[in-house]
Amino acid sequence: MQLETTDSTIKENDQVIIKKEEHLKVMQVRKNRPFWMEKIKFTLNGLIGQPYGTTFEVKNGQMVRLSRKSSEEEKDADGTSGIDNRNLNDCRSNQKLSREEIYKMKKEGVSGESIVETLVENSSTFRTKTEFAQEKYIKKKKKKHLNVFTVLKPTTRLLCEMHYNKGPSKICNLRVDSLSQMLVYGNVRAHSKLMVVETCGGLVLGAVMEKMGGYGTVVQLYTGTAPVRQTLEAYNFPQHFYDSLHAFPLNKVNCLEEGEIIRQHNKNISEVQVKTEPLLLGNYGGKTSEQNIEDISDVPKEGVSEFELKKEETEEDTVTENENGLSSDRDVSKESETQNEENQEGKGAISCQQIAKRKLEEERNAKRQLKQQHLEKSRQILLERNMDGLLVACKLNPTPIVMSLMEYVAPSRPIVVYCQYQEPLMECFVKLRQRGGVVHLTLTETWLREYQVLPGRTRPNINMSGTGGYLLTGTTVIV
Amino acid sequence: MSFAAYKEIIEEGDTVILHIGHENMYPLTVKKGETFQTKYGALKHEDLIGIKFGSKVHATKGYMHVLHPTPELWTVNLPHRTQILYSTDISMVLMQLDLVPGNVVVESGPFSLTLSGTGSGSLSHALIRAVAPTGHLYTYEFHKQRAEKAVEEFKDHGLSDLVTVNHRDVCMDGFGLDHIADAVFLDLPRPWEAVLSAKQALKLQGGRICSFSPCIEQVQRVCEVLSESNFTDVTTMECLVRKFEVKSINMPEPDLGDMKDPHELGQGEGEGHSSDVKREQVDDNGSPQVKYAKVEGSSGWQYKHKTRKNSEMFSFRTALPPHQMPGHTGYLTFATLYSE
Ligand SMILES: C[S@@+](CC[C@H](N)C(=O)[O-])C[C@H]1O[C@@H](n2cnc3c(N)ncnc32)[C@H](O)[C@@H]1O
Repeated sequence: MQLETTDSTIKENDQVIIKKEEHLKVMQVRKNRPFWMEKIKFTLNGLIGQPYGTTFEVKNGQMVRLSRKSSEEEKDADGTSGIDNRNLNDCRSNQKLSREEIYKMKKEGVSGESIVETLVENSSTFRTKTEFAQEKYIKKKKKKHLNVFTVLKPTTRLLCEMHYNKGPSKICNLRVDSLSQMLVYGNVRAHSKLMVVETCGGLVLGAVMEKMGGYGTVVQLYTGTAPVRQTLEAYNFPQHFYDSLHAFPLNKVNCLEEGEIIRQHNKNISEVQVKTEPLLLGNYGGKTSEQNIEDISDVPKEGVSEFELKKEETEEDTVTENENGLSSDRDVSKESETQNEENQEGKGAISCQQIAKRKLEEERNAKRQLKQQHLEKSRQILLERNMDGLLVACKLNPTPIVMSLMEYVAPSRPIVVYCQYQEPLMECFVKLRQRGGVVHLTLTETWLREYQVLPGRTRPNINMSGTGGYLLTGTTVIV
Repeated sequence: MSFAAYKEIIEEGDTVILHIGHENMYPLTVKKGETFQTKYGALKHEDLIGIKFGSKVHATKGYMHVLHPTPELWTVNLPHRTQILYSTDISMVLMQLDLVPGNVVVESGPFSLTLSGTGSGSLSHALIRAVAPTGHLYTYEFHKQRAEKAVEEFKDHGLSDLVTVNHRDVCMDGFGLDHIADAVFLDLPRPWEAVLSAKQALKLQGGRICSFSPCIEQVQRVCEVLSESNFTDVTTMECLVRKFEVKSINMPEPDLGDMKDPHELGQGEGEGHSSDVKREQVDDNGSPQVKYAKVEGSSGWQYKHKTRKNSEMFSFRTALPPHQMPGHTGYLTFATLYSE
């Protein structure tokens, strides 16, 4: 029973999804961390201990838990039927209150409720509206100016929706129906042993790990110096999920057989480490070992480690993309700056420095060894040539990736290649046909349409997504 | 045999998928002494025993491949007892219901899920995969023979421990489950009659529900009942798949007669500032195929070209959509129940 509550209640340091109207945003619940919504500053402290799915309203800088009922009443009644609007001119000047005045009110901490009231008073057309239209007007304004949001547990469904709506190019335009088919055709399940190649910020990897539930093995083949996995954080995966996650660089695939190359690769990495190590100190507390190792190979900039940079970037773009009044503090970067300043100051004391240096050296060696062990482990897994499948969703030309990784897949296993363009998959299709060893090759595209369902007014939504990308699937066989 | 885990070698009693050719597959349960007739002649079951999944096997007049079953291969090969859900809708259902192996929610007790009705078990196989190894599927079917057949099939497929088939009318008698399910799926003619007992089956902390209906009137009613029953985030969608055929196409080039000098053409249009472009298209062997003359005239860009030989072709690769394809399967309605 006790455990039951832990899973469904919000805990400190949880990554949560804040849903305000249709907008989703991932946030970490940190004590006393300031958070802005519609110009009002408050903290998310009040979330801790509440169940997921709770709706809150921000009133006078405080979060108030709304009951299900009252938050439901805020639900928008969309629709246009039954209104006779022959005397209505759709024109901004119907509202005497200017945008600046509204902004000022918010800054002064006037509640959403009274803003809506003021808006009604200052609307020259409100009284001429039908009762239905008046209700609709109020609801619309409330939706916009009331600070009501719901806290949800991050899942692949929500994360995919969030990224697809916010910046689909960052996830290769991978729409939720395409992602769901990748998982299904890839036969992704507990105890799978899969290869994943993706440049979707970790969304595909996270989805695969979520559906495997911590059982099995994933080898992520990555481009560049380290795998990019920002999205993984949002999943709140327990540590043991990361134990089943392995990484291997794509640019070492061609010489996978030769152990020597791997050692060489590690040497290069440790050279980078030597230069950058001091700045990295202290930034890794609480992170998984897997991530530590990966992050080290990145050269940090201006005293901020790559990990922090990544974090900042993600936060930055949520801030700039906020049309919704959601914004977050910049304390993260400040924190790390002070930390680094302290590191610099520490250089004054020589003996301390020497001890620190030796410590660094040891740490560095340990990390290097660990990294090498991990790479070697990944290599061994691949060399067994009995992977249960290959999933590709990236911005690189998929054909060479598929052609060279296919040999590590066991017979009678799925290959799933997603691409936002059709032509590379046509090419891949033809090359696989020529090569042989794959049957049931299928190139598809899906079409996703949402509906408005209301009494007497049911119809497809006015807008729909034009493309969710293309999918090539097949099953390996013995030639 | 188990659908729940891969195995390497085929044994007696295993369900396998014979891949005979493009879109030509058969499910087979391997039994010693039996033969299977294909368009490539007879195949002895015995020849399958002891070989690896994915192997090439020879019938009397040709060869084929023998594949390990997956829920997706099963869906396109299973014996139909009812209308079934296909993988496009199935994948959306799995995603939208937030299904994960039980152990993600292991702290909150057994992960479980209810489904009705069982029908031909197409969706059931995918649902079981999604919640295994620690989750469970409760599935309901009021048609006795179908329920029995489903039990038998799950047993043959090594899935018995992961699923419970109930012979029961869920609209009349409910699911008989008290707050143990994380998700509910309804594929019934009158799904709204099962919404309240679905609510009773869902965990107190909340969960997701899906209703699949071919007709919009059913959707209308189920949405109303869902909202009345405090389900929120009600969304209805439709997901269709388009399959392409990858083809090389040769399009004959038209013969438009001899080409005039492009400069002449430009002047012919009466333009003083001709910005004519002459371009040659080169084929794979590097020899020019077609000559284009791009002429900017008063009516925009025009192409005048001539072919060298009448037999020249414009060749390209394309992905052809089918002439006919399923234009509707059903509407998927999803909703969330939050705690309280
Ligand atoms: C369309 S089929 C389901 C197909 C299934 N989703 C599949 O993919 O194979 C619907 C099934 O629900 C069963 N059914 C209809 N009403 C029912 C009820 N009230 N209780 C239990 N089963 C019911 C029918 O007998 C039928 O087999």
